[in-house]
Amino acid sequence: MNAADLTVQCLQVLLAMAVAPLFAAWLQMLRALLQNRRPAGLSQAYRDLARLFRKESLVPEDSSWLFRFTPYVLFGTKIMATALVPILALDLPLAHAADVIALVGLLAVARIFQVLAALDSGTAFAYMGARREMMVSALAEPALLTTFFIASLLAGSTSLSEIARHAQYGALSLHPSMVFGATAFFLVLLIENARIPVDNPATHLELTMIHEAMLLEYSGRHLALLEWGAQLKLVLYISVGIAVFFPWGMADRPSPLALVLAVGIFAAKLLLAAPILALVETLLAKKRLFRVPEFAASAFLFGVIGLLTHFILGA
Amino acid sequence: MTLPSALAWGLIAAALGPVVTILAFVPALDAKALRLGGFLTSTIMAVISLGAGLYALLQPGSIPATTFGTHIPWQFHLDPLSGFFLLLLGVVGSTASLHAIGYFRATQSGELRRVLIPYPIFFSAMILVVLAAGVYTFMVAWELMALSSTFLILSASRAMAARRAAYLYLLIAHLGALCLLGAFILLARGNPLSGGSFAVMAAAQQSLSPWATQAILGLSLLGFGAKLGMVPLHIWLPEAHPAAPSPVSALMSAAMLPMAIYGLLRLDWQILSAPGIGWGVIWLAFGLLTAGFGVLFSTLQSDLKRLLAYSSMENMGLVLVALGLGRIFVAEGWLSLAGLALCAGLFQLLNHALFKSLLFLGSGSVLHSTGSVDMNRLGGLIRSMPQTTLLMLIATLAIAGLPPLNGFASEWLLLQAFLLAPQAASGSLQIVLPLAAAGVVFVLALSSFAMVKGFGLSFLGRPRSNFHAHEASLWERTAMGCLALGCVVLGILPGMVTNGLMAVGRLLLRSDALTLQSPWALTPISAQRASYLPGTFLVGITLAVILTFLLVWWRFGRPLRRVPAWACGFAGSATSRMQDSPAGFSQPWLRIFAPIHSGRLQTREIPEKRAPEWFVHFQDPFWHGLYLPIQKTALLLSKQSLRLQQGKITIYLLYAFITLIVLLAVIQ
Amino acid sequence: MTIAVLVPILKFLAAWILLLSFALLAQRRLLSLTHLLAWQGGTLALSTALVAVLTGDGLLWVSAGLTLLLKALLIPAILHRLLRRLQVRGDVEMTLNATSTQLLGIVVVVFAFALASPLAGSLPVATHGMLGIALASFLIAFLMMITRRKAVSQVVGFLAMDNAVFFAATSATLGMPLIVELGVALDALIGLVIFGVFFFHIRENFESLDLHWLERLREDQ
Repeated sequence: MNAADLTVQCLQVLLAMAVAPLFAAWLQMLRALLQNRRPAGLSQAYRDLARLFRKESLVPEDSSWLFRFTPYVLFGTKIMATALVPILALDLPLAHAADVIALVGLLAVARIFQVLAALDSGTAFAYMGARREMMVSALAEPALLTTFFIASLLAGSTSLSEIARHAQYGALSLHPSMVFGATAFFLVLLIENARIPVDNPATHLELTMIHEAMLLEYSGRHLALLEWGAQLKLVLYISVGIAVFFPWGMADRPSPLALVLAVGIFAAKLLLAAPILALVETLLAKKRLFRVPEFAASAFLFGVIGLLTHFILGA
Repeated sequence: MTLPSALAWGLIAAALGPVVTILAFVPALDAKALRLGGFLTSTIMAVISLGAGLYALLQPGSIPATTFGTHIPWQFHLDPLSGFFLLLLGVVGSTASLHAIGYFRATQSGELRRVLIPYPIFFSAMILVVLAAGVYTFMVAWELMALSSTFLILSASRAMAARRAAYLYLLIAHLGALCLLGAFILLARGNPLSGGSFAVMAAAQQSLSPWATQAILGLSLLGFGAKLGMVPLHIWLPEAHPAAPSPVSALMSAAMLPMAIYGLLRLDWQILSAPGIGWGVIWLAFGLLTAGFGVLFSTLQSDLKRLLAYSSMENMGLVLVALGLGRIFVAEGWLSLAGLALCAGLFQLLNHALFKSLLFLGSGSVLHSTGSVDMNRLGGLIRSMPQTTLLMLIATLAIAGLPPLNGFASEWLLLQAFLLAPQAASGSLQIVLPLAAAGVVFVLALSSFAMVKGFGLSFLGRPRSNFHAHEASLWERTAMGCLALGCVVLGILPGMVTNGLMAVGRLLLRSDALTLQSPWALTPISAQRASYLPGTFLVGITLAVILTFLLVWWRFGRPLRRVPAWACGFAGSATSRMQDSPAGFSQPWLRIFAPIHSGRLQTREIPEKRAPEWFVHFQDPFWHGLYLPIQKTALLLSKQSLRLQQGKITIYLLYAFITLIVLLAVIQ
Repeated sequence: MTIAVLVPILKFLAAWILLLSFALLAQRRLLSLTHLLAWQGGTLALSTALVAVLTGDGLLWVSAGLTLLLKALLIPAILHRLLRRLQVRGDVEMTLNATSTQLLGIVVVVFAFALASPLAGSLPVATHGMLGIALASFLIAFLMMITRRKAVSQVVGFLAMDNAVFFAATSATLGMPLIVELGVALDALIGLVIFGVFFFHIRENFESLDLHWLERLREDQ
């Protein structure tokens, strides 16, 4: 671990933090354009965050330290997760500290703290969101893990850097098991980031919302941290997908030229990911809540078929 | 200190048990003296056995069995496997006894005696099970363990539920003991000169016929599975654990269930070293089935202690999965992977001892403080019992498998054992491994649901009924604090545990399969293939959280304002009853898994309320599908045998005549 | 375009076909079924074209073109029009719920893979996995026919079965005589027309396409 690697690491985290609201705004813009609405502009997300940070933060009188502590924990874990995923460079100093399973565990920490904070606020909507979130994630997290299993079985390692390196220098992506893994991963991305067809990120008062219900009692800087964290989570998931399935372009050595190239390629990939997501969100309708477990179960079963394809067919 | 002296210390610890029991019979001692004297001595017993176990684990060697007596030999020995389980017993026993000092502080001396008489015997019996080196010692200690725990279940209350629980427990325990006896008899028959000694039987196992070996393996799985809570012999578990007082539940769940794992490892793995891949798959399958069943039912429970009992079933199932995987790898010849799987299983067992006993002790404090463990009545304990809540939070995070705590480390090892398996030659293994891996991750996700439900509904939110809760006593908090500290330490230094288990691996695998690693890291095969450094993890997360807090506070920090909860505008009319009930929280699983649990909504009358209360009544499918038909058949058969009792003297004389004729013919 | 480049692409397409069969099994909405069928036909055409490049067989190009026309465009269009005219709407009714059907699908996939592994020894090395995938797609399509109640989805299942057989014939064995392929395609088309005629009859008699009405057509004791 030397200073150059450390700088790249910090650069990566800062880049992700800075880009996340921009990406959310770009996605929002594309959805608006597809739905014949007037887009709000690329800096809207930044303006929203700034406005929320400046406001006063209110706390329910029955809540405890867990409620106040959770937004910082959530944001901190998401930053830590960003530090674990190879975005710009393949060799990261933290690569030996955690692998894909630990990454999933880290996301689980964030999720469980969010659920506990919702339970702490003591309102019916929060409980509703908490229960649905736990149920859906009980099906989505195994799906995510099975996807990572497929990737790590093919790469021979569970370290994300190794998987990315293997994909970059081998012909990983055309394996049949990876097809199933990619489908499962995409479905889990939709589920975990509260996209249509699972959850509508734009509305706060639907009776079928999942993630937004847990945030209802937050305001001010807490809410700003949670919103930013959610945007960061979306960028994180897309980065993980890129690292596992389309990792070409990442820097092997932390030389400035390779890094600039890597930043450019990463930006291009994000630019291309947003229209796909926007298209999916516009073309599909939101599922009834009772269908969401089936959706998550489909993702899990795709992952299982991918595993079976790998083990039995050797592909 | 040498190994024989460590064995001597272990035996001394076991001998202290009857001393305390005799003390409990003395009528002159009042409740406080009994409580302090009895439980402090139990703590000392546990600490001694912890020390002895640690020594055996870290300074491994093997000593010949020490024998007392000539006609019936009482044989004891101490090797790394026994050492590990002694360590486990010591950890759980010391904290449970410490907690008990505080837990029983309002109990009358009569009930206290009912607990203190069997309690030390229970603990001594478990120590003797682990130290036993021969069949007689083992079976006597095993039976003593079962009997004393039955009395412990009955000690808390004399209600019908408790008596039914004790009866079921004793029944299944004896069924298991019969199977074990059968297995040991078959084992000893092949070695008639062994005198029941484990060492002799292990050395001479070649003389066993193949079917005898299979029969022994099957009987021992049944026998130890009955103690483990393996499906379908699990029906005693959810009744017995809630009925016993909480320190005893902790001991039963975190120390007694691992005794069955000890038995399996000792009998099936160390003594009978025949590597059967079939049995590995059977262990894997039963373990997964048990884990799935346990976790499913634990998500549905409304009683905190029943939830924890089913969750114990799930953890034991996962341990059995890990051990089955280890056996499969041994049969395939991949010894380092087998060591990894074995390590994962034993690490999981140690973690279970830590966080499960912490959870049970915490639920005991809740019961003592509020008078109920029904989650329909609890809530908001974070304000009245803040320290207990913090300790229970650590336990919940640990059992949910969150990094960087200890539960995650053992789950990580188990998943790595699945992933690092090379392409298997056998076709069935190609199907079994991925499906088992998918099943394990699903079980882990469901278990975090159940634990979050258990913690969240009891401790967070607002109280669902009127109770006056007070913080747990210092004894209870100290005991729980030690366990929580253990969870954190074991999570940050997992390499320490894997290094400690090296001796056990060497004993069971008969080769140096596990290699020495840094205590701060888990790197199973090589750092390139998989590595996990929880210390760096923890430092990273803490740094990120603190940095976020400082930056936000510096730029945007303002005092918070407390207001009534918004609740979408329903602030005024939102009562604490509008929070989720436990059945409501797991309603999706109620719907999805309805065919398995056949839950039905029923009402029951509550004396202090005007309207009856809804609750969900579950049926255990094994109870209705397996046990009740067996019971009906047994009753039917015994009714048929009533025909023998005609009441006429001439008929009875006829029986005697027929028996005489038959005997004469046979002698002929 | 060497073998080393084409065979991974073929395997990739094989996985897509299995994925689409599984998606057909899990899908509820009738119109989406026809879209998925169209995608499956398109993938099939692409894979046949690739096999044509691989083997250099000119007739396979014709086969690929026919597949594109028939399975990707014509038949889904006919089904679409049929659905419009029958005014069938909304969800498909399943005999089992979705999750159980999918679990059964996994069991079927395991069975198909296990069955195909020893059989694959007689095939060219490049296509070892594909027979298993084709068999799995076939069985999943069959399962789809069993677990549905509306008649239209059974037709879709039948067509998916046909797709799977076609895939097995072309990609797993690297080509089959054009005559046979034409015959199979003609069978499918005729079957579709006959189904269409039957649908109108069924709907006339029972005012609905739910198959449980057909169960009344039996002797009453």
